Amino acid sequence: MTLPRAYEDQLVERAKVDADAFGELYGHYFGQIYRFVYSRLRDQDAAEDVTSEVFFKALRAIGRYKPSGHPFSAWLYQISVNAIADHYRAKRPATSLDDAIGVADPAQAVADRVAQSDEASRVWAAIDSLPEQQRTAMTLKLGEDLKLADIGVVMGKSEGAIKLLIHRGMIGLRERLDVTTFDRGEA
Amino acid sequence: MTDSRWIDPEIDDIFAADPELLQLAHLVRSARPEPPLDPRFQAVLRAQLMREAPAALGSPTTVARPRTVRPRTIRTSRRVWWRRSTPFAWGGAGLGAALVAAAVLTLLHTPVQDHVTAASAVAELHAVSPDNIITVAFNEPMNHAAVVAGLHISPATQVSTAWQGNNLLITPTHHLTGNTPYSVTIARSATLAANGQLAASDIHITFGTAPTPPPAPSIAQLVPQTLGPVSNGAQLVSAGDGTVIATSSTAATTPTATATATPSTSASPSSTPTSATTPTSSPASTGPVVLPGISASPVAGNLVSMSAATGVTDLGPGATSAALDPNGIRLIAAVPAASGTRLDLVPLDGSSWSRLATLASSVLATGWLSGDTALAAEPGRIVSVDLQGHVSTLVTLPPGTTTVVFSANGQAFAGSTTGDGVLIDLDSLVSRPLPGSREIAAFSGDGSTVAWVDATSSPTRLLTSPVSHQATATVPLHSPTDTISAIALDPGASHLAIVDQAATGGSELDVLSLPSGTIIARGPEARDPVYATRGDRLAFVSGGTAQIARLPGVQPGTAVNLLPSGAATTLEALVDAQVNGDANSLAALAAPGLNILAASPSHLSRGYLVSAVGNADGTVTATARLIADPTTGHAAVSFVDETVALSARAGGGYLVSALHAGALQDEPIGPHVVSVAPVSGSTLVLRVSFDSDLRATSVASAITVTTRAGAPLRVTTVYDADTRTATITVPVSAGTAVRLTIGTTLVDVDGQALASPFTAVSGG
Repeated sequence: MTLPRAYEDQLVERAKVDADAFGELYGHYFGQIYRFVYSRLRDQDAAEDVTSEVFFKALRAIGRYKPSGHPFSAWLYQISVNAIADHYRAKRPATSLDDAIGVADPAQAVADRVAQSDEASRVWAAIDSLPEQQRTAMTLKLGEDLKLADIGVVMGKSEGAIKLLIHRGMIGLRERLDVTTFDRGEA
Repeated sequence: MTDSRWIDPEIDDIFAADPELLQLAHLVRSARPEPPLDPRFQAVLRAQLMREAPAALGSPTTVARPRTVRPRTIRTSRRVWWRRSTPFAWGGAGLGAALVAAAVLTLLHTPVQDHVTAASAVAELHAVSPDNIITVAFNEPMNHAAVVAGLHISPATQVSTAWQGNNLLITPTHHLTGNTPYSVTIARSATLAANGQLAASDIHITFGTAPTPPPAPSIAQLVPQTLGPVSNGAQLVSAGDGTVIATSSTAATTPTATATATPSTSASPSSTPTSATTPTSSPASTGPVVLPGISASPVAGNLVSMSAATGVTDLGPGATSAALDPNGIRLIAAVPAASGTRLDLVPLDGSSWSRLATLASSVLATGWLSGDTALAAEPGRIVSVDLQGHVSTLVTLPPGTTTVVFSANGQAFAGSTTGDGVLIDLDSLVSRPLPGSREIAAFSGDGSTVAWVDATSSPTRLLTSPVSHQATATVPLHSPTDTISAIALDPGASHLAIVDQAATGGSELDVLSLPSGTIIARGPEARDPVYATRGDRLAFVSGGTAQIARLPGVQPGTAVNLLPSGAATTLEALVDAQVNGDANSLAALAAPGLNILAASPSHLSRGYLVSAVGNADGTVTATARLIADPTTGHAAVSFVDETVALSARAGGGYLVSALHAGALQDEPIGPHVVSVAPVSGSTLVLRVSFDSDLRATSVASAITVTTRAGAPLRVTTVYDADTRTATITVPVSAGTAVRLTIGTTLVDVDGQALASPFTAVSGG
């Protein structure tokens, strides 16, 4: 769900001086940002912390925001990515790969296992084991449905670079699931 | 599980060469997790942003970070979600479901204007009905979830909430505790209006509840025995052995006279009382006239003696009033006569009557001043009549007197329909009004206590006072809107029987324990209740018959509250006087040399007796809690637990011989014991009441009972959430003194431990 671009642009301009307008932006984008942050952190408390930080930073910085032709949300995602990085720098993620992946049934195809809800959560947890930029790109694409161009704005990369990150990330995910399953199965 | 509706050309493009990866991408996309979200978080974050926005948007580079002190005790497995990582720190403590009442946000940020305000009709009141619904009226449409999540009530109280427009309706699950200060708090951060505004500070609503009876025990149903038919308006007089005298019977019944000279096997119209009791000599001025004993079978309209063992015995002509002498062997009976009213002595053994005197007017009541001096009340005076028949005017009654009640020790109540009745000491002839009394009053059997109905108040009040001095105590009534038509006090002022009639029409007989007002027994629709001399039975008229019933669990001469006669009344009067700052009453209650007023805290709002025990030396030791309700300037409840010693007063009743109160202090957070009271019965059962809703599983294990010497006793404890009461059954007889200890492992529904360990000696 996106706001009409023209309306959003006007709203953002008003939000630079009008708390109510900022509140409207917050109301519209809170869910997306929180979901994104949570999908990257998988910890409700941490997600709440980081989400609040994102919006406080946005509040502080919206006066300097300049429309770039991309959705306002891209700017918020950009702040989010930075805040998540800050969070990880301050505290390494507690979830280990082993914990995240768990024990899978080697007899099942990857897709079948993914189809199971708990397996799906493991898959998303496995995404966390990918290199940071790959998982950020994958999360923004597969979790938030951002356009590649917008993801590029968020991550400060070209659209092609984002494609590559997502492609490599997906290959890495498949490999991790297969290898992990095989290893666990032999153990 | 793939989401076939999801189409992303960019993804299709990226994985066009690898269908398996494309499939995996679809699966990952369809399985993206929905994050857990506390709905309060979004609202609180918005509120915080809106508060910061004016400063942030006006000066983007100098946003002051809110720094917050956030005490909280939210019970959750995850950590505080409104904690902010540095350098941000922002508030929101009030949204916890179990915040302590003292949670106060300290926001060190640029002040902004807040617009949410709240008011409540109960704020600052001190006698709110425990059945009340608490309404908090906001000036703005509110975020319901945020407000309710930040609601906290102390003492801990389970509630349900509802909204009517901008009004929050708070309904206690188990009603409020009586005689208890309450504090309703909504933390500022939870006072979130729909437009994002907040209140300027935490919302505190303080109030106190009116005294109510402690949780009622199970009410026993009286099981009466029918003694015999009585006339409409007949008066009952009870003797100690279960015998009941009715001043007028309605019809002949099975002849069971056992102490008569000439028993008869059937009622005979010819054996009229008149013929049998017609005076044979001149009246009082010539001395008592000896009449023949009544030997006929019961006759309609006659004075009769009735008992379950011997049936009905006809004693002679019907009377308008009768009173048993102090020795319990004869009656003074007022018998209507053509020339006025005869005063006759009626031996209960069936021997001959004696006529003492004839009065010119009707007689309102009869009594005894001593074993050899009877009393009679005429509409304008009270006379004494000695056994020689000499009549003397003792006192002139107030004009309009319609009712007179005599005590067993020389007191009289004179009432009318128009003004306050008066209590008259027939020895000193000193009188004082009983405020609000009209025609309904009664004395305890020992004469130490008077009870009356305050007919001037609405709803009706039932009051008691020691006879020796005015120290009025209110008996809590379960149905205060009922009309009380008759009352009777037991010998030791430990019980009170009332006939109350509901507005809906039905009436019933209730037996109350004093001073609590707890109903211990209930009987049928009745009138004219009279205690048996020893207090273990109650006689009354119901359905045209005299009936008598044993009071469940009451032993002859033993009070349910196990305190000596009058002690409970004195303690109640003491607490009332302390709360009211009544210097005169306190002086009257104090033993010589004791200044209770000086030892009492001032500015009290309420008080109650926590526990009391009678000691072997006849003294009484008690603990009472004195409370100052929270005020606008002092949000905490202040209290002190005072210890009181009573000693018997010469001439009856009790005086306060020692009292230690100390200074008021802020009440610690957590549940408190409100009362410890024995329950009637042969086995010791203690009922402990609390002011908070408790976590039921914590109650039994926190309670220990030992003998006074410290030997542990195995007890059974049952917690009733509805009454906030723990009932402890102790395997000893009801008269045994035990030591009760309640530890701080007892917790309320908010997880707060008992405010302080509690110990009391009770039960004997």
